[in-house]
Formats: sequence, structure tokens, C-alpha cells
Amino acid sequence: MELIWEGLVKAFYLLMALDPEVLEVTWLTLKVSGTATLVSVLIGVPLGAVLALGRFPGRNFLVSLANFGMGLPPVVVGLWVSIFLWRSGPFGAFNIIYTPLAIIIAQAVIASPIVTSFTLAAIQQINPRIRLQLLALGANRMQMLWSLVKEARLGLLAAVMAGFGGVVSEVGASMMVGGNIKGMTRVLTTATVMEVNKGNFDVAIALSVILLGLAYGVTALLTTLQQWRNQR
Amino acid sequence: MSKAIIEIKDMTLVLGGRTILNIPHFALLEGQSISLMGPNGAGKSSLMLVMAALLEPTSGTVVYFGKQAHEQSLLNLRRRMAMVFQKPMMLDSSVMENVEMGLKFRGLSRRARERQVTPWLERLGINHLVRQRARSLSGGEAQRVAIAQALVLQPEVIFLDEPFSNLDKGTRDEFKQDIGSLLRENSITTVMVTHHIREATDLTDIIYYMEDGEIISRQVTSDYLAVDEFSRQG
Ligand SMILES: Nc1ncnc2c1ncn2[C@@H]1O[C@H](COP(=O)(O)OP(=O)(O)OP(=O)(O)O)[C@@H](O)[C@H]1O
Ligand SMILES: [Mg+2]
Repeated sequence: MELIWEGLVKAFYLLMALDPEVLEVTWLTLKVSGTATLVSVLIGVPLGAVLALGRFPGRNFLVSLANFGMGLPPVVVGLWVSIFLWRSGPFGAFNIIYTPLAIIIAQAVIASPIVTSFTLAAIQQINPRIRLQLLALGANRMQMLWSLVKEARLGLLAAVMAGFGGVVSEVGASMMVGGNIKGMTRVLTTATVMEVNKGNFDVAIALSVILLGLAYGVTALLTTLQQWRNQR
Repeated sequence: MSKAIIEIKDMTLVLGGRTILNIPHFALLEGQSISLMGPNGAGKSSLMLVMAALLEPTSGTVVYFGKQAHEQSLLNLRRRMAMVFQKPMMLDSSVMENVEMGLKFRGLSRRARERQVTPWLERLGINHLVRQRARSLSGGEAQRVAIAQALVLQPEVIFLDEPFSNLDKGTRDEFKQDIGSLLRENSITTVMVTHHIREATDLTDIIYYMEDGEIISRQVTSDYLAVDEFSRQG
């Protein structure tokens, strides 16, 4: 009990003191996971829409792949992204490993299937008569796609939340491709693991509280956005 | 003799293993206005969807404006026609956005859209609804919006699938008059599904009766009117 209390006090203190190191880690976490989510939206939304609307050979396989990909273990993603980015790997020449960009790549790999699957489900849920209506109104392919994406916007915001929640909370991939380098690739999750390893439970608890706050804050923002129109 | 806008030859439509439509020959001529009547499940809505190039028949040919479907751009073809569905589906946005959607798809500027839409909003009595969310409309209001949505497109052919079914009696009579003169003024070729013989005789020139996916008879409505007059006198 005491430990938890001390942790909370420490968290409060770190936050109130605007500890520059903690701020830096928090800011990097938000930047990295936010960017990764954005990338996964740019990939996952069109992909999900095409999978929802298209009929082509291999479609079912791709759908099952996306669904399977939702549960990709971050450690496995981290390992494979590392293999590709290592100095001796195929993309080694770019010198990306142990940079924030490497974490963004790995997290985007984790989040993209999540966003794809959520988008697919959201668009498939739309009443098929809407598609007929749009066709009758003279929508071309792009207009159809865009109209349906707009129609599915509530589900899409859920996709964004799930994607962000998935990456902001993972530690395995960030650790492997980022390396938890202070002032460079240290994010909230990797910092928490490190503090626990060092036995600094109070700092670890403080970081975890900040992480929860961050995840909740972003989700609350998106939820407000999502529910906005329904309240009018 | 006016030319055929839509001509159907030896067409069948099979859905879920059942033959829904079987039409050896049917032609819709330019400027004509016709009604489809018949019991529930006869295939009226399905035939409309085929005529509107929204549903591909299983066999046979359909010639639109003198060309088969595969010989022309389906998109351009569909943009010459408009449909009011039996159960209008509104998109989850404002009434205004719904009404101008088709014009937007056709690339009209915001101004041009507004210019084209405004008179219809007034004529259909939905001006006060433009900012409301379309999903929250009552059945009758949604039907008016759907009619507006189709008419603003100034189509060459319009398909009306039981367009007045949700309207109260007063509105229905008023609309029937209004839409009737409107379609005639603009000489829009019209196909309407209805269960009310008076609607058919008031608004259209020919009634086709359907049953079990087939057209079983054809009546010129002026004959009906004569009978009607006769029975009233008698
Ligand atoms: N996608 C589909 N799959 C299987 N059967 C279908 C499908 N669409 C329509 N049908 C069937 O085709 C038949 C004709 O339907 P349609 O909607 O054209 O009838 P309708 O004449 O418009 O009837 P109503 O007066 O009730 O509107 C019905 O028996 C219906 O169940
Ligand atoms: Mg019908």
C-alpha cells in the first residue's frame, strides 16, 4: 500500500515539478505513437475500405490476415523490424535502427492491421442500401469510397483509438528497435520497464500514471469528437 | 414514333436461386410515363433497379439510350437517371447535404448546387428542414427529401418506387398534382411503382401489371378513366 502511495506522490511531484526528463519522455511517446497511428490510418483506412467493398481473388485471405494481424505480438514485430533495420540488414544503410523513426515503423506495423480490421468492420456494417443509393446518385468509385468512409466515421474513430491504444502501450517493439536510449528513444513504456529493473518502483509508478493519463487523454479527446454530432 | 430509352429483351434475373424476373420484351419510350402495379413480391422494384442500371440481369439484354450496358460508361448512364427508392436511405449528414449529394458527385460548384437546389426545397416544402440531420426525419419528410434529391438532378428518366407511400392523405393529393405537372412540364420520362390505381391513372399514361416476375398485362390509363367515369355515372 505504502509503495503505491509513494508512487502516486512521486508522480504528482514529478508532474508538478515539470521534470524535464519526464516531460521529454512523455512528449516523445506522444509524438512517436501519434505519428505511428497517423501512418497506420493512412494505410489502414483505404485498405480496410477496399477490402470491405472490393471483390477480388485473395480478398478473403487478406481479410483473415488483417484480423490475424490485430494480435501481432509486439516483440515479434520488434524482432523482424530490427532484422530489417540492423546495420547488416537490407535497410541497414539508412541507419534507422535505434532512432524514433524505427519505433514509428514498428508501431505502424502493429497498428495498421488494427486500423484495417476496424475500418473493414465499420464499412461492412453500413446498410447495403446506402451503397445502392450512392450509385443511383451517380457516385464514381472514389466518391463512393469517400462517402462510405464518412458514413463510417464513428467506427473509424474507434479504429484510431484502438490503433493508438495498441501502440502507446506496447513495450516489446519499442525496446528492440529503439533501445531505450536516454533523450533519444526512451518512451514511457521502456522507461517504466527500466525503472522497475533498477528497483525504482516509485518512479515506475509515476511513469505508469503518466502513461495512463496520456492514453486516457487522447482517447477522451477522440471520444468527444466521436460523440459530438450525436448529441446535437 | 419516339425512340426507346430503355429496351429489354429476353431478360431474366435470378437471385438466390429464384427467378425474380422474366421479361421477354419491354420498352420504355422517350417522354412516356408508366406505372408498374402488382402484388408484393411481384418484382416491381427489381425491374426498376434493372432499368436504372443498378442491378445487372442474369441473362438477356437491356439497351439504354440505344446502347447496351457494356457499350457505355455505367457511370454516365446512371447520371442521366434518378431514382426515388421505396425506402429512402439518408446519409448520416444534413438534409441539405443529402439533397445536393448527386450534384456534388457531378462536380457542380457550391454556388451552382445551391442555385439548383433552392427552388426544389421550396416546392417540396422542406426548406425548414435543411439543417436537420437527415436520419432524424419522419417517414414522410424523408420521402420528400428523396424526391427532391432525385429532381434536382434534372434527370432524363426518373424512377419512383411508391414515392407517396409515407405521405398523409392531404400531402399525397397535393404532391400528386404537383409532381404530375412537374414531370409533364419537364417531359421527364417516368416509371412509377404504386399500389393505388388513382395515382397510376392521374400520373401516368400506361399501367403494366406484374405478377411472379412477369408483365402480365398492359393498360392505357385513358381507358381506365373512361371506365371510371362510366362507373361513376352508373
Ligand atoms: N437480393 C435478393 N435475393 C433474393 N431474393 C430477392 C432479392 N431481392 C429481392 N428478392 C425477391 O424478389 C422478389 C421481388 O422483389 P421486389 O422487391 O422486386 O418486389 P416488389 O414487386 O417491389 O414488391 P413490393 O410491392 O412488396 O415492394 C421478392 O420475392 C423478393 O423476396
Ligand atoms: Mg417494391
